[in-house]
Amino acid sequence: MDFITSEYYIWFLPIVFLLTFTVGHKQKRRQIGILMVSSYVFFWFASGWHMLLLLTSTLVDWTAGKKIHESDDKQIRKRWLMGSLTINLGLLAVFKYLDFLIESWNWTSLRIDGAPELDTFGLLLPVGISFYTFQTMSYTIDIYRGKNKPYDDFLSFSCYAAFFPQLVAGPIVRSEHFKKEIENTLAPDPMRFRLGLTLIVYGLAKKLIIADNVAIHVNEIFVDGAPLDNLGLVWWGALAFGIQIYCDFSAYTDIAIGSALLFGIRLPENFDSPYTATSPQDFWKRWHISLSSWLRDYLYIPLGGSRNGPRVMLFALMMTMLLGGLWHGASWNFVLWGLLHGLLLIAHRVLKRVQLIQTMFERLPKTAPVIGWIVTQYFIFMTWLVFRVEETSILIPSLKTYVGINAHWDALEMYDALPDIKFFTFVIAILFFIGHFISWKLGGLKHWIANQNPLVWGLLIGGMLSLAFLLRPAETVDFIYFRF
Amino acid sequence: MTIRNKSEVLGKLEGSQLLLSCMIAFVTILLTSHSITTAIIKPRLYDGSINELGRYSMTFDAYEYIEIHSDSAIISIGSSKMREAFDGQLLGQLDDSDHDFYNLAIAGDRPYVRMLEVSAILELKPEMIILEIGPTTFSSLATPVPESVHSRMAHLISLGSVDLDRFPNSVLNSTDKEMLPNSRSEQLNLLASYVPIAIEDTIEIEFFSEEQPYPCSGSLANVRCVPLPNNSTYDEYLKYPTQFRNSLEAIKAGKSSRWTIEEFYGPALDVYINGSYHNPEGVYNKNQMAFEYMIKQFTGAGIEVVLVGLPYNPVLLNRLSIGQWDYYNTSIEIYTNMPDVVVYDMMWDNDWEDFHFNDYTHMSREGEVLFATKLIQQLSPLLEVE
Repeated sequence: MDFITSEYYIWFLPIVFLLTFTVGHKQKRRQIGILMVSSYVFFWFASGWHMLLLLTSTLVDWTAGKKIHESDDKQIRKRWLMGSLTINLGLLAVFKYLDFLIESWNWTSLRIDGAPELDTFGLLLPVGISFYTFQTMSYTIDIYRGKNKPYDDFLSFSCYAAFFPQLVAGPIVRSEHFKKEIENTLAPDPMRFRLGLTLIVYGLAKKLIIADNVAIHVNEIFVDGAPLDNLGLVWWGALAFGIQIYCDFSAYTDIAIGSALLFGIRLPENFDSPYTATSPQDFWKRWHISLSSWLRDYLYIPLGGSRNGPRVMLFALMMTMLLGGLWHGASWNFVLWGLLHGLLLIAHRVLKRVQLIQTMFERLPKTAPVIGWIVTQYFIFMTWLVFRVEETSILIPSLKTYVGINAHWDALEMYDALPDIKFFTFVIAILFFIGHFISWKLGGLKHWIANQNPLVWGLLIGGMLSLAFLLRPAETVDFIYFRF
Repeated sequence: MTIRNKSEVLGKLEGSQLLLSCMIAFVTILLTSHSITTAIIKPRLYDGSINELGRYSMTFDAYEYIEIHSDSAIISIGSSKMREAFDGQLLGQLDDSDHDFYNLAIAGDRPYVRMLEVSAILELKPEMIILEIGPTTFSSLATPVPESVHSRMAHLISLGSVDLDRFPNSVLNSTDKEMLPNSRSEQLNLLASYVPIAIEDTIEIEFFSEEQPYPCSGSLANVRCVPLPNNSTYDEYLKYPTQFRNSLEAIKAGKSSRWTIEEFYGPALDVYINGSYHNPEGVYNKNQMAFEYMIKQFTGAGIEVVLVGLPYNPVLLNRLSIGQWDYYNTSIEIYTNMPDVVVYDMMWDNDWEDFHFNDYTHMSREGEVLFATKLIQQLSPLLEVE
């Protein structure tokens, strides 16, 4: 079960809603209990026995948090913190990276005489492990730093760790934020409920109409035998994947936030019109905000941040981006993706200090941001190629063509290389960018819709929902971030 | 970095307004789905661009049209053999009474598929139904049905909102039933699967094609093309649909790139004549049960049923093995004795020559004229009685 299966909307969500506000009517502990149990049920359907890993993480961080808070001894506090980090990162390392490390070793061993080849364990990646381990780790670290206090009871903490809307693919919620949300008894609020419905429908429309339709093109372009020296084709492929990944991931986030709002719980935003970013730094303020802020607070700043000189800053930045890339998946292309983003951020910081650039932004206050936007997005979409394509035999020619090396332009060849449904997808892509721009101008299209009167809201939501049903392709695609 | 949460700027909303909002959204869903189906999917189904044969999409609209526009309808049902034989306009001219003759036969039709339309036909209340009976009526059909047949059945069920529960398991096999879209949501799902390709074709036709690929208005040049019900040619089309071209004439004149006449009447005919679709299975099978189910439903509703055994090209008939179609002949005898059913078997009449056909089975214009003349002689007494 996930956010695009009908069971979620027909059975799971209505039942949990009814139980929370009938059985748990005005009784906070019951409500939290219902949400916690429902979250484990949801996780069981999504990932089966892997829910034991979630339970382990929860128990470890609950205990570590308590012990750290109770102790005044620095050593003991540190030991509990290290224990928590070791177990959490250990689970992540075993289940997510062990096979990758073995495969990398085997690849290297082929080039070293006498080096043994190792068998992989064939471990399945537990759904959502990257998200909930980061979430529970931040809880323990914040208590260790003295920023937060532990939860009063295990039930509330386990609900925080497992809350079903954000469990599988975020947003990564900070413990204090969630604690405030469940401070009072949950009560259905018509406005929040309607905003929740808006976000769910908005997310479904983005996922089913846009992400899944452009995915068909992406899957047809980046394959062996495709004319990857065709500039138009590779540019369109990069653009289409950029659209797909944004609509796919932000759709998940919208549905997650929307589902939580039905219960009156607000989750933080994860996206803010990222394709309007005018610099790499701006992009990371708009893309996967809950992860980038997590990496900033728990990695970049502890590594030295920007207040310890340029060398430390460059090191911290590059390490943060490399590890941030690796967080996405156990594959070298994600490391390369992080590296490229690290280089872009460094290049941006260097260029910001160049006198000529500063003068240009001062003298051309309207034109310069447009140039910044074009340059930024050109490189952002280039990095999506690295994110999407794992096979070097496809990635290298694609990257070369993207930057114009050995590339040619042939519209007819591009037309033939695309799937049967072409114009429909082009129209979707154009409408996406128009919508993205409008959303940026309005400060969030979904919130604008949610604030309309019943007639306009009903027309827009009804229209979006029926279009999501009618325009979706025959086969829907799993959410990309489920893999991470 | 602050994580913005714009829900904080939301205004107030009453519970009643929420309810009103949801009701408007629900109505909008119904209207949007209906509009898209009508404006985008249906034209592409009719012009044959998103399904194999556009004519499959027209039956339910055709029944509705006939119900509104004719008080005394006679409809023919069967396969492409019936479609190529039955000229409703000519029959109307030859008939002294005031009846409308509609040709609703479909290429590749089988009783097991056609029975899905029984309810719609009963609602239309025709005065008479002319049902094709032939070797194909008794041909074998696997369980579960092959993909092509399944897709036609699923298509018809979805377009006609057919309720499968009305069919007893003895008629509609339970394995087949399970695989077909029975609930309305399953049926809508199937229709929705056409939307992206329908929009693609619409964009291509509207913006990039110099002419429409399957011209529906005015000339009916392509057998895949069906005019929409609001088209002025629709009535004409339902009486006499677009016909196949005369392949036999071209082969005889040496203008066919595929066959010489020797090949056509030689090895190609041997392959054709042994195809399972053209031969009775020889047992009481799914197709026959469905055929009898239809007859019973029609006669039970007081509709006159005429079973017409259509002739084949005599060259083909002469090549049949001894006893190859005995099951057909035996069945004809059985149905002749059935109450409330008239059987008119033209299969073995000596009037038919090969120029009456376009190929092995489908009639040429000469064949259509002869067929109309012979059929109206048989029908006249029945029509006069009414």
